[in-house]
Amino acid sequence: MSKERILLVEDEEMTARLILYRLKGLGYDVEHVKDGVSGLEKIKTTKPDLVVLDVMLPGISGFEILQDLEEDEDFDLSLIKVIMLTSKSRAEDVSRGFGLGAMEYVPKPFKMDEFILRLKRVLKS
Amino acid sequence: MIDYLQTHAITIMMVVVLMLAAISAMVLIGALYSRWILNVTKRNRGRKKEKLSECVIQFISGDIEVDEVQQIIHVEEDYRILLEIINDLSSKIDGPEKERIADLLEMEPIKNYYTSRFYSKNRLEQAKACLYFARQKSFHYSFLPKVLEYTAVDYPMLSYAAAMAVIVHGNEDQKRKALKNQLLNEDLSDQAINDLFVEYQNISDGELKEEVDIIMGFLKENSYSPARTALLIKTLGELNYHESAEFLVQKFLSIPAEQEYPDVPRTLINYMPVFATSENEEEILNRIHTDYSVSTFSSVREACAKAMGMFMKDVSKPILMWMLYDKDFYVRFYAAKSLVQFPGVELSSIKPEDMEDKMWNELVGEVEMANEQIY
Repeated sequence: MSKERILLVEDEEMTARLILYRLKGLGYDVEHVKDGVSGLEKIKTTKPDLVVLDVMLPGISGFEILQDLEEDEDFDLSLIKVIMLTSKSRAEDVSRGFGLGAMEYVPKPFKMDEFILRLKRVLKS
Repeated sequence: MIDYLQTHAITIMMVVVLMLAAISAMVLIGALYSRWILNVTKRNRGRKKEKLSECVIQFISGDIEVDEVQQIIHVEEDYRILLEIINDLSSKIDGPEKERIADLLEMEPIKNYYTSRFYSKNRLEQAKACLYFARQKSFHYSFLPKVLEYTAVDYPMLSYAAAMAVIVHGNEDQKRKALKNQLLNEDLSDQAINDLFVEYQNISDGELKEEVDIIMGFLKENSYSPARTALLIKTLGELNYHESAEFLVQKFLSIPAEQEYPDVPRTLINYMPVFATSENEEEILNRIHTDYSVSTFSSVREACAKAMGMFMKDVSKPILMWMLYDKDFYVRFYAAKSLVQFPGVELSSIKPEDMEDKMWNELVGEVEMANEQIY
């Protein structure tokens, strides 16, 4: 069974390290980029199975990435599953994320076990 | 002498030039050396941070123990790097991983590091030590009296950090005293006070009653500035605890109509629609209509306009219509917004006769846009 490919778009170093460590330990094929522009490019070129996307990023935000993908006629956003990760958890931001195609919204600070459970659930869906 | 100088002028000039060249060379070599040392230090620090980061991740994931982390820490700088990593992670994660981070903070050298800073004369270092104590599991209670003293100092960072440590480790009286000292310190921001109350609630295992009792106790003292009193009212209001409802309503009904500052009446009015009951609603509305809708403070009038829109009593309609003439835009805006909440009231039908069309259209535009933005 081939490993699911996950792209992590996260600029906070230690958060990224922790997620990478845990996901690789679980056998996922994980790539990491640190800014919005690289994240957008990577999503379009590699079309990962799942994107773990931070909202507050250097360059362009997680919301702007999803907006760009939605408006791109050559890209089918429905083929990509997205989990948004952020310290902002206002109702309007959660709504906005779901409206743009995110399947899960994980506010920081987060529990790794819960994060992994949600990730697995999204991958299965 | 002059003859000598004239005879040996070239030699003297060459000596001076050579000396200047030598000094310049020394300065250049010194600068290059310093830069080289800085680069080497930075590189070493980067490598150490990389190694420690990996180690910390493995530790908090439960794959290695504290001893293995300690094996790669040798000098004080290593502990500083470790603390940077811990501080970075602490605010991002929760649950078992956060607990494991707390275990790292119990390492003996880290404890010693902060104990020495607690006894320094530098207020900032003392504050850092207090913040560390607030995160410590095995806190030495002999520090507590001194920490409690620090909650009363003028230096906000130290008083806040000390209060945080007391809230985590102190008894109820000590916590109360620490919080009171912060409320009396006007240099401390509202956000800092809010953080302390949040921590207090976390420590109380989510038992709202304890926090409600302590805040109500502070409010009954009537010892604090209007801004602090308003913050206490807001904190109490947000807890939405049934016992505090009557307290807040009584406070609203009993405060004098004339106030030197708007903070307290404005904040109380904001919570009246939430806490009013059928028994006291009429009395509350009466106060809003007669005493506060004519307040000299626009923020109070604005709060009245909002509150009337939530109460939605027909008796408020004439007051809201009158508020459409208010000199403050936001009072007019919230009066209009509240009026259109009433069934059968259309914006187009309530334009005041002598209001300029431009002013009215602007108001209507803002109200319509605000209504569209509600999720």
